[in-house]
Amino acid sequence: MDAKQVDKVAILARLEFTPEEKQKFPEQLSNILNYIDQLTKLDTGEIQPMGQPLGELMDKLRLAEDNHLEYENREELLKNAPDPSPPDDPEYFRVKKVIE
Amino acid sequence: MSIIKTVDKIRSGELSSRELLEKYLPLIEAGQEKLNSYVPPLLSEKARLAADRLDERIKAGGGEKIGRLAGIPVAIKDNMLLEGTATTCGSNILKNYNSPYTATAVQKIIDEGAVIVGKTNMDEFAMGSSGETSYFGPVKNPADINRIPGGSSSGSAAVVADKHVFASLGSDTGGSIRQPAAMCGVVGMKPTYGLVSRYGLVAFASSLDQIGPFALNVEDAALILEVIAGYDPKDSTSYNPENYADEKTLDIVSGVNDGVNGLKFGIPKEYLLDGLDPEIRSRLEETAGILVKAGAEVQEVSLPLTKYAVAVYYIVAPAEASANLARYDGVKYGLRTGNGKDLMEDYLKTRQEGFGSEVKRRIMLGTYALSSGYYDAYYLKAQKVRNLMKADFENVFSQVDMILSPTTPTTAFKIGEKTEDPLTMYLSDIYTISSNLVGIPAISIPAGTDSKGLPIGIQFMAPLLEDRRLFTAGRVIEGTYPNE
Repeated sequence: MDAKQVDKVAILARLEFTPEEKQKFPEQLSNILNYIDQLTKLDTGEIQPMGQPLGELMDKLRLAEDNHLEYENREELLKNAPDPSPPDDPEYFRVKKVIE
Repeated sequence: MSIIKTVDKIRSGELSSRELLEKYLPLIEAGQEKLNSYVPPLLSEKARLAADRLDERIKAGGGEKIGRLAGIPVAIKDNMLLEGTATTCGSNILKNYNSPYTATAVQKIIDEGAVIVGKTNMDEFAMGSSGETSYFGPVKNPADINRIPGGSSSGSAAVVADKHVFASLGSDTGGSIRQPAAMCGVVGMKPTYGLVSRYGLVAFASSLDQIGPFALNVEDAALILEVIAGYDPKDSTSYNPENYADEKTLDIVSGVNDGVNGLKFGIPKEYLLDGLDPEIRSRLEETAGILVKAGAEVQEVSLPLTKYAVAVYYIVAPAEASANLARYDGVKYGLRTGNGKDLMEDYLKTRQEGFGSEVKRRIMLGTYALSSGYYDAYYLKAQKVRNLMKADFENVFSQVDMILSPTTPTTAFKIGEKTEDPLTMYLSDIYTISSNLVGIPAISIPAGTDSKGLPIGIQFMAPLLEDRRLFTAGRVIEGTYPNE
């Protein structure tokens, strides 16, 4: 990963870096990716990808019916917002204007 | 210090929880001073209230059930929610986050009477193997304060090793319970994926994360696991034993003293290659001898994909982390440093200031591995190798009941020694990573110290849902090499 690729991925990841990170990341990330590249030596043509460890057992769990439940403590959750809407309408998170 | 014996004294009234707590609080404060093992503040006042409430209930009698952890001082890793406390996850981005509810595993120990004395310091977002990436400063190893305690559940291991709590909870994504347990000289256990609810645990890599116990001995660790395990509808990956498991799966404590007579253990030959400290290797061989003496068979087995485990892990875990950590955007909770000109700039500034370098590195790796044009080569490839690794383990478990191995290739290294070289740091997890990828349970048991006086850990791994076997095996070898 060169500096240009680092910049591109950083935007995708919504990240910015300190000058020190900017200087070190291309080399550090390249070293890690080079190490990871040894996986290309393995033939995995017909193998199914594995997303989670419990396999079919987890698929059975997923068959459970979905139930809609109301979360009781909405106010408490909103208290953690850096900029919640005013107390007379405590329903929203506020952000900068996104549509002109 | 045994939980079971101490709880007996508290139940009988021979000792009050408050008396016990007051004995430990000065040790906790001294431990914090020396080890930086908690994210401040300590929860001393809350703990006093909890202890007093418990004592009143015991005094009142009336047949009310007194829990299996009654009055026991316990610490929890600071990535688990406890209502009314901050949950920082070792990060600047969450330093002012107030837990709006309590994690299921934490609630379960509270319901059994545990007294929570503090939230332990950790690698930021559980990303690290040394306790050095915490926003709140590095945690120190009680065996040598110039050395790392391991990570990422650094404080949870250190506080038990310092013997100022009886047990603690940690979380393990690639070894984050077992590796610090080994380096600090305590018992640390990662349960089968899905056995313990992750509700209220800050998510790092959702297909790998599990909460598990630290304790000073195998029986206490078994007790804590028995308390925290079980189905929780609030976690969609929680395992429902009613439907699928052996009825004894969650009956952990009762089998602790069953012994290993007739059991087969396998040592993977790939775990004995270069990089393994010769002192740890010879301790492993001695441990095998103890098992044989107790009636077990020990043989060599092969896990040929071992050398790929770290590579697979450093795709899967960062990929999941990059998705899980997208929620830290300065909008819903956590830090917002928003003097940007628009929302995008607010995101960038907030995450720049909020995350430390290791977290950023992993988000970068994960985003890269999932990005268009690289997904097949990295993420999909890793998921396929992960499936091959699962087959490797299934093959070994068709030959033996448990795998025996070192927990770590070296004992605790010096603070600062590996911070400049992330890849070397990642490779220190070589023996612990695979069990997370395939979901199986594993435990680290203290096996004395090396010639420098630093703790050595021995690991057992068992098939999915055979968690109880690990305690039976651990019980046979524990105490063979008493520390000091």
